Amino acid sequence: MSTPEATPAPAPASGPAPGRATAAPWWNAFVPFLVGLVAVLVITFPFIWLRFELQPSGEVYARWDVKGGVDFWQNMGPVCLIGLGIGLLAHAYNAWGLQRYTDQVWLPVKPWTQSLYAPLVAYAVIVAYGFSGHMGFALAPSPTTLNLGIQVGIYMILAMGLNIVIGYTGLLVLGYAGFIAIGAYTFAILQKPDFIPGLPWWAGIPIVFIVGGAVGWLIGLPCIRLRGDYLAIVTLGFAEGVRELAINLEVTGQTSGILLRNASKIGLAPDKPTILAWVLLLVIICAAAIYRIYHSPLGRAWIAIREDEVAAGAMGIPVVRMKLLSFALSSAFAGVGGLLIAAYTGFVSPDVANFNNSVTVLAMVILGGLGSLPGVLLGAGILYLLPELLRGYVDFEYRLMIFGALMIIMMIYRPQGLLGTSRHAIELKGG
Amino acid sequence: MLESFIKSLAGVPWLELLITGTVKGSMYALIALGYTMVYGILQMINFANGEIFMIGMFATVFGIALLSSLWGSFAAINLILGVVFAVILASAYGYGSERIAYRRLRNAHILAPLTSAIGLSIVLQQFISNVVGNQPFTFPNYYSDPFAWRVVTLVQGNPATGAGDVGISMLQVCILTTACLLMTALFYMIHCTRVGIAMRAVSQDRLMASLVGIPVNHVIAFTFIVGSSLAAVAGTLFSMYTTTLTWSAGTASGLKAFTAAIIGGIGNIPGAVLGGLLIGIIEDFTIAILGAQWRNVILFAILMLTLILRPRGLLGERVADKV
Amino acid sequence: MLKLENVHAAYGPVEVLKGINLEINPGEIVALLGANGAGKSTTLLTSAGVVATTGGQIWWEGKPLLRPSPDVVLRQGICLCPEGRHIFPRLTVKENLLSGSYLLPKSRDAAKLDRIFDFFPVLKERLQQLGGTLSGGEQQMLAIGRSLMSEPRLLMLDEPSLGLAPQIVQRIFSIIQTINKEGTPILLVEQNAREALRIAHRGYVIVTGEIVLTDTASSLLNSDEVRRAYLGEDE
Ligand SMILES: Nc1ncnc2c1ncn2[C@@H]1O[C@H](COP(=O)(O)OP(=O)(O)O)[C@@H](O)[C@H]1O
Ligand SMILES: [Mg+2]
Repeated sequence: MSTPEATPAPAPASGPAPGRATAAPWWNAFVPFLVGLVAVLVITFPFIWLRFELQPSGEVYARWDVKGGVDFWQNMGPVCLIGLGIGLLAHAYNAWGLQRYTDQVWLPVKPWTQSLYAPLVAYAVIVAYGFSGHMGFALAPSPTTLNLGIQVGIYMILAMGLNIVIGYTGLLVLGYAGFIAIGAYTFAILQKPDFIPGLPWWAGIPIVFIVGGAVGWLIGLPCIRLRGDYLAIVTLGFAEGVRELAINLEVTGQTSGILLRNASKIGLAPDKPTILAWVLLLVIICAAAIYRIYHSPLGRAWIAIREDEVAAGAMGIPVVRMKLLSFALSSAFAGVGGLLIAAYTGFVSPDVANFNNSVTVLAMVILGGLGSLPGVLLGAGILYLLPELLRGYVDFEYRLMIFGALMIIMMIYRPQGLLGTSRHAIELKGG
Repeated sequence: MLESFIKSLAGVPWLELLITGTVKGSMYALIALGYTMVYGILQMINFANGEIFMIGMFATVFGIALLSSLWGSFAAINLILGVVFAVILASAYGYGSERIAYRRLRNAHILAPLTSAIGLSIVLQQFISNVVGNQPFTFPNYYSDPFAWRVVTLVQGNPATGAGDVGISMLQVCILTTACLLMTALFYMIHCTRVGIAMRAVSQDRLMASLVGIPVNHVIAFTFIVGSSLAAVAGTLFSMYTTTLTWSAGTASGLKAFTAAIIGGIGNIPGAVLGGLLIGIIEDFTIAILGAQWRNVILFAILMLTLILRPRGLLGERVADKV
Repeated sequence: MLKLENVHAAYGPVEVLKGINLEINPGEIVALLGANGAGKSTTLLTSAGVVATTGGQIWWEGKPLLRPSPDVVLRQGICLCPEGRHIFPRLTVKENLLSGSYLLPKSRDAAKLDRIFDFFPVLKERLQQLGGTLSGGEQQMLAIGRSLMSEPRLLMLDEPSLGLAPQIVQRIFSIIQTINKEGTPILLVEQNAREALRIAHRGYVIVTGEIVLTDTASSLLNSDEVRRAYLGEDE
């Protein structure tokens, strides 16, 4: 039974590479994918290819809906291509070391003078181009393009704000639109004749910043200690609550919302280049401010909390206070974004607090890069331009579906987003 | 203003509200169970559970429609098979969502599966909205009318017009019975069967469960399937009860069910039931007293209050019941 | 039965096993000895399918061992009772035991439970108590019992004596011996080298991820080198 003699340790295995006993055929890797594809086709089949028809008698019958099905897959073609493209891009980033190149681009931009230099040049170019229509330049941007630029700018501010809480501190906020609405409504109410008539939009910014921060602080206070996913739901509920309050309250104009007076708008409708200039200037200011915060002890504390909350606490970082601060700061920026939306479009309606709005900003942050400033700017750009590029290929209604799919794909293949870099990488290489 | 408020309180048909609230709450509880079970086993919020509920709603009608076209409108058979169809389809969606969106993120940062879940829920609701239609549909009343008759009359109102009557309809009885049966079955399954032991083992120590031979992936998938089935049945009942189906029903009811799960103590099965009932009753009272437009505000206030006063929920400390 | 051939394993960039060669024959108790952090637990975890190998081969009854996940390994007959016991704290003792026989025929449960109660009568008294409320020794007994429920053909025990009083250690070791006499080979990892070698037939000594010495238990017990290095004796 037992071996009485001392057995020498078996000789190390020699020969060809150890590991799997048999090599799997090359197509094995695709089997789960194909099975999944077929399964998805099967379970979506009834919804896509059938239609139910209610009879006056209350009965219901099923009909083939070939047109609807073809229509759906026609729309899905480009969507799948985009998904594939983004997935490939993310994969390339991981597998082919593209990271190195983006790091090379962004890392030298570290000292803060330099960090302002590039954006300011870009700013000058874009604004000059925006105004070039006034000088009779033939290739001047159309009002649609300018409008797009302004919207992208506003959403860049929002995405940077959301990035503070999600990307830096690692807390998920699902109801960002609630905070946007707070900013928008605060400004819209303040500029009413009975409060501060003729309040210019720029004077509203500090007010909205403070109010937004205070609201964020108050909402965060009870739930910041809870697990991250609770916070997500609480903020979601908060946004819904804000929307309903706005619908119900007299002061918010109920469903019709509030129309802003001309004095409080950023500019008047035809004067889009000026508006663009202001918005982009604000983008740069916000970016610079957030950049400074991120590279301060505060930013380092946030990252520490994101990476390991327990360890951060053990290192003496006041975890709760830091989280609360990032939460409040993020909602303060939401307030600024909300003000800009109000001051640009000229009115505020309860729709600002829609879940869709939250999701849009969230998707920008996630796509572009959690915790990366250039990343979220890129994300805002892509997500705003994507629907424009797809116009004519994909119905507008599929936009949100693309966002949702993007969120899943990014989480699986590149959870840190396109340009998201882990702090360690930056410090090892750039330090 | 206060006076009128108090006056409106006096006129509240509290018994009726209690009944309708309980009925609605039992359906919320069924959805909340899905949230709480998945949370118990994976410590993540399966945000898409509300969407599965919505898929269940539509799948029922599609199932009924298919069968009617196949062999005619046999009310009872088609309805029952429609529910079966919905349960199977919703389970497939639940299982698929676990496979596609969650499994690979099991050991990731907590943000990752949650974000993926939100993405998934957006995809599902936009899918239905784009493919089936974004306007509300009515439930085929040929199949719900047979349940409309009143079983008992508790309060006799105006004998001539029937106004002010308070009673319990057959549909309400069916909903309550179904919910009770399902919850009992679930409770039995979790506490008295091997699968239940396996589920609880996985929720407490995933690696160890695997080391004692429990196929963890299967158990987790099974949990998703059970949660989705409950949500699908809730979907059928809810669409029969409210007579409408919309693509956005998942978010609306999902948020309530989720709040219910938190109020009861997330991860806690009896807690989810209790929370569901409470939310249903509170909602109906809010609608009657303040008006329907206030219900989310109140819901949010309750959620906040719970989180402040009892962050672990009402039954949160009874960890023994955790799945 | 089980044969590790030049097995390498790593946690991230850190290589922890640098070519382990180890063999267990039917009916044996084999002790795996080594200092803290030498890689004993990692060896067991690798064999159990928790940690992936980065090289080498693990053979089980003449065929390569399939190790996609621990439960698959267990179904092939290898059971690991890990370091630190890992009782399910909120399952009762009975449920803890039954969790070990998931996927095995229910009809055999009763007989297996009786056998375990013969070994550990305490568990029978505590059947409805929650696992988390047991004392350390009881938990270790429960952990071994739970492993037995899965009808292992090879039992790997990782430091069963960790943190237990000497009498209880004696009890547990004698039961390990009984289990072995009833036909189950055992791979025993121990800090407590003297006790382990007393019941083992053979032993391996592992130092920083490599097997440096292997011999019969009695020779190891008497070898000066081992005595000095691992038994903490100077005489
Ligand atoms: N999960 C892990 N991640 C990283 N390193 C680990 C992990 N577990 C163990 N190690 C390292 O591997 C080495 C061997 O560990 P282990 O096998 O547990 O040693 P032993 O059981 O012999 O005390 C140790 O240096 C330990 O620090
Ligand atoms: Mg060890």
